[in-house]
Amino acid sequence: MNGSDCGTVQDLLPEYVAGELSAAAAARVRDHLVSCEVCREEAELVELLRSSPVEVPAGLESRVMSALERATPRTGSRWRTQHYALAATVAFAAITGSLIWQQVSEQDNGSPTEMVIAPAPDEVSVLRSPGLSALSEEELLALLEEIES
Amino acid sequence: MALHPESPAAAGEAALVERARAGDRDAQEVLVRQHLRAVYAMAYRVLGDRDLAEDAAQDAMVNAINALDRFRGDSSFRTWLLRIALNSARTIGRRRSRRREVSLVVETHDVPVEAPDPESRAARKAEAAKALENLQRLPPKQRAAVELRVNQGLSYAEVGQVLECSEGAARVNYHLGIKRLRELMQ
Repeated sequence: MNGSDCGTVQDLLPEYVAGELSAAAAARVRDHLVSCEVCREEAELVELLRSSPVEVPAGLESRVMSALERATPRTGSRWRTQHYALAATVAFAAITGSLIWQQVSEQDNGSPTEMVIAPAPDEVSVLRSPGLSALSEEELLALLEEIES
Repeated sequence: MALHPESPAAAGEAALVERARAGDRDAQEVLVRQHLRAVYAMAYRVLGDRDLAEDAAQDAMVNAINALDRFRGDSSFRTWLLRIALNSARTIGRRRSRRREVSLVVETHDVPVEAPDPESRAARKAEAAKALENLQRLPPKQRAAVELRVNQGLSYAEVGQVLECSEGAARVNYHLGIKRLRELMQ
């Protein structure tokens, strides 16, 4: 059993059980499940979790609409929405103007003005690594702590 | 499932959200009808209690409609809404914890299941109820990650947006949750 295959398959199980994979991808998952008990158990668990669809209780939709009506009566809501939108636009322009001024000032000083946000190295390895399923719970928790610190 | 951002359905939803934002009550009702099931399901699986889930779903939908000015389209509408639903469920869950001990027993009649005959339906129901009970035993982020991936069909990136964590952390939380659930089911 290849840990990286299991990781890849387990990542796809929700889509596989939902019937949302392409025919080729579904066939690859199915072939793996034939010979891998761990992944088969996980597929059964995912299927079990999906097997009990939750129905909206009768009357909830109308209770929500009644609550909406009480919270925001029709009269004035459009005015309030437009008023807030205008206030937000003015505030945004003020903040943007301030930031542009700050950037221009920094440019004049030769400081870098562009900030590129890239995922931290551990985040990249978690995104790319198919082998999460091979890690123990302790290792996963340690990895999570590292990512979130 | 969250809509693909460039799909015609997403464009139609964007127009609907715009109308709802402007106060169009009919548009708001359509949004409620389209998303209430996902919101309620999320709340129910996070809280494990039908009455509390109703309260959380109602709060979430009302809060979301009233806060449409804050929806910028950085994520899909469904993802944004599920984040509000999760926060609403957490708030109600915290109030419940302060008032009384949490009951983890899920009534089997709360769990509709599909199965070919009455006997296997009963067995399946019991298993599904056990899975739902065990889901309540997971730490909140793992529980939410499992629900969002398995039942809401979100990608890891979208799960991260709902949980307000990175995509990598969302993936780890999901794997931790599923691993723990498998152990609890044995």
